[in-house]
Amino acid sequence: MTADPQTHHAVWEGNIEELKGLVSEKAFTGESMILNMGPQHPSTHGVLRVILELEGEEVLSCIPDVGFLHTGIEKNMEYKTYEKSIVMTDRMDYLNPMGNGLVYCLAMEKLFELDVPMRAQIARVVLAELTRINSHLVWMGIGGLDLGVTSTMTYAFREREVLLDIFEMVSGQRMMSTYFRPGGLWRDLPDEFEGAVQNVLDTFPAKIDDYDKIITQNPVFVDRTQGIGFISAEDAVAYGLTGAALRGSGVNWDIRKAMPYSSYEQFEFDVPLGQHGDVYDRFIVRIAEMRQSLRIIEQGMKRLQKEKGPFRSDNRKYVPPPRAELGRSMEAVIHHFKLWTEGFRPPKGEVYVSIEGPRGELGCFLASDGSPNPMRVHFRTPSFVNLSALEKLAKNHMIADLVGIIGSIDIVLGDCDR
Amino acid sequence: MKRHTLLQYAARSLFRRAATQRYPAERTPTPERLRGTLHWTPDGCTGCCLCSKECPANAIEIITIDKTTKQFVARYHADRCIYCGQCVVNCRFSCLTMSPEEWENAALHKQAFTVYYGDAPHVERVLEGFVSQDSASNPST
Repeated sequence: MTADPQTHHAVWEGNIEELKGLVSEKAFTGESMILNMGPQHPSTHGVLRVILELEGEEVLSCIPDVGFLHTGIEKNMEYKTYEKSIVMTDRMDYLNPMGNGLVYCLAMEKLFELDVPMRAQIARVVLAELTRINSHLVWMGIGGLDLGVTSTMTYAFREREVLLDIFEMVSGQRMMSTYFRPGGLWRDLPDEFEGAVQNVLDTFPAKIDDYDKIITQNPVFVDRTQGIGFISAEDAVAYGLTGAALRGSGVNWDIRKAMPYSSYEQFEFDVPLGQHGDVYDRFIVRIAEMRQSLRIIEQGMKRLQKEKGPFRSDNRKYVPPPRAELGRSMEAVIHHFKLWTEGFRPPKGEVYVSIEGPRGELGCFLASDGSPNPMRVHFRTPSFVNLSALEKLAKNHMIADLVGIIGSIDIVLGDCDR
Repeated sequence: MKRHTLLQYAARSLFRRAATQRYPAERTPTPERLRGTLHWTPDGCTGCCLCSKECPANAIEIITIDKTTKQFVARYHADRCIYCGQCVVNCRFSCLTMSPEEWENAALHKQAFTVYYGDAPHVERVLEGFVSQDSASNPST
């Protein structure tokens, strides 16, 4: 990309032949125009570049170009021990740090066959649901902003602050929490946790109702989203969409119900479904999901009051001993040194675990060769897979609608590129 | 009537207290678990270097002044630190703490991010160019 010396406009110097097969023949005869959107564009939710083929304002085809936020986290994890790499998972999807930590810990626990105490499992569910609300609030704020409902952003970010304060109180960091560890939690939940979550449970339902009204009763928003970005249930399944993007088309698939993990089978909640598969329905599904998350948190908090057991497994081959043990047990000191200098050596094998993240199926594939470092870690991230359906969703819509469609599949580029 | 929700919300907000704070003047108390600037004390340190070995970001170096009398200096790279708190967890002798009060870590020059902890004469020797006797203790160099 260089600037034209006379007009000072940026000129693309790429070879149009590279796009053969990706765009229609019209682009080569000059009937349609190729336009580059992004990567530094406020409405692409990060550094996403979309190559658009346009006829007037209509999108004929669009090619998402990812990789601008590639951080090499998966490769980097191979050079760190299992416990060290947990800090890296927080940095992938920065709106879902607890979820990333959860799926990595679940994969490790499946590989080591490590039991997690009930209190830790319930705490994980509560925190994962709080993270889901946190992520949906950001999506609602930014998604509304894309479509001209600017006030949602300030409201959503104000509410998110309450949730971030809870994460800070629990883990010591607002976003990069690193709270879930193999076998349980880093530390037990603090005493103030219960009051803070109760405050969320008391205030959020009314606020979610308000935001629902602000958006769904806004005629401009409804006109701009209904019938836009349609995908049928069959296509959604064929493209591998998951999360609200799939449920917006009416497919009842939620990993929390289909393949329960971390004691989700003991919670009562509904899976909200859309009917039409357009941007509006995906919006409604996510708003309804926030209400269901509050239901799960309420049940979880009741159970946490009763479950007062340990918060971390006491399998000393994988879990370091608490500080109190170090002063009186030689064995504990040996385990402490062994675990922190060398790390643990899990059995050889491969596991795949998936959870329902805020954006869809978040999976973790872990291969171990018996050494203290993982041989391969791969994350199946919903943003990447859902983004592949962008062309199908955006075809024959206006450019202005494309912005709403990108918002409706709720991508996070840190999650997509990792 | 339905369409007035946003207007009602705006009208209500007019009479509410602002959600934001006047930050430098008004400060929220920080939670006790907040992971802020790392501190190291030489008392009790045996130079086992678990902290520097386990650090995912190679932010800690333990410089051995004299191994027999257990005299060490810690060089802490605040710009590399990712504030995960792993070192605080694995120090057996509680030499490391993360202060919940110190979280405003911006500085105008890079030198501020290399912090030395230890007894003053030892730190001076390190600043004058003393090289650690135990090279194995510094995985980052």
